[in-house]
Amino acid sequence: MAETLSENHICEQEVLYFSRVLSGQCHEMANALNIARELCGLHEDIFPRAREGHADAVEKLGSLAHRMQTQIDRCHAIVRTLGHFAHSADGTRLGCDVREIVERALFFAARQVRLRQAELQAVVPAGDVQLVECNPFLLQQAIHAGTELLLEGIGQSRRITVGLTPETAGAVVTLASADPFVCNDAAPALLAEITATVQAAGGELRETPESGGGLKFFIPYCRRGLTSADSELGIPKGTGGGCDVS
Amino acid sequence: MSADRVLLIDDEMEFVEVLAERLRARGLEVEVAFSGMDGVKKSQATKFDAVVLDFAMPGMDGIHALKALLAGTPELPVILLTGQATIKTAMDATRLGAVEILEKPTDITTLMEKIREARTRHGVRAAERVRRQMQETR
Repeated sequence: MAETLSENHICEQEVLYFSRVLSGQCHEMANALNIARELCGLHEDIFPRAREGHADAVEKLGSLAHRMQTQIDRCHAIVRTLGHFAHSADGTRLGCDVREIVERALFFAARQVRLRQAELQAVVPAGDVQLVECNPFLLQQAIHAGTELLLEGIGQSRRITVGLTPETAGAVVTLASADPFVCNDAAPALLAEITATVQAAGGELRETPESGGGLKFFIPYCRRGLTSADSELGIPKGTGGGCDVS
Repeated sequence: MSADRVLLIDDEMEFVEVLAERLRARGLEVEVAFSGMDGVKKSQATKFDAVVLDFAMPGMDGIHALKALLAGTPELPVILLTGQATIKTAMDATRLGAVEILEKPTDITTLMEKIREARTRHGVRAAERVRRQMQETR
């Protein structure tokens, strides 16, 4: 069973998670910029022929613009998500949109999953905003650690599904692999870390893969009123599954 | 003289395809592979004058791919083209037999030069091997 982890250890894990996200996204952004750079080079290669009126070169220039736009959009998505991620460490616990938190955690986990030749499937239904009371940074960290845990014990299908389900008193984040979880040497320590992180985030670990059903985190809905400062942060009033927002 | 035949191995498909197109426009024959494993298979099936290899890839990473590429053809010039160039990566790759380590982004002219140098080196290595074999059989 999960052992109690010290606050120092949790802080170390926070820094580690932060640095992993940053380094992973730096690589992703560098990849996009490298492609954009080569596309610019290709543009330079083609331009003289296009200026001479060669139809194939003219057509290719048009498609190059679209391909560059794709890489620029990819960089924008990374920068935007990293910006939100950095702010998630600010300490706001009230009125966090759990769907946003889950989607952000999966955005960052995607690289790791891809490098491990696995697939990440998200079942996060669109719908009402579900405002929860939690530490968003730690919840992201717990989801990431949960993904790591499942990757360690993943079977042949190499597929991890992440779901978000509304309940009466809160939201439940589910992480499961398609195959039965294979316990390994790293699992107990990772599980202890996940338990401590979910608790520190303000949630509760309800199920572990050892019991055969994947990981389930329960995150309570926001029951307290939002302050004006929270409202200034752009948190919508009057929304939220089970959320009592005054 | 036939065109240099080059194999590009990188999991960023768009990057490989654009780079391949630019190298082809400069007279090279280029094949692409989107994983280390695929690259190793292609190098076993076809003779290349040089391989340009990425470092961080799913499954078989650059270092493992480098080992596998050189296990079959020890004289094959492999250029590591990576966005994660560290002293350790460079040392590991050099120790294993990579002829060059280039950091992304690399200018196309520099890459062309390195590929040509690699081909020359390949020719010298192959000639040395033939000479050694002839000496051994005497």
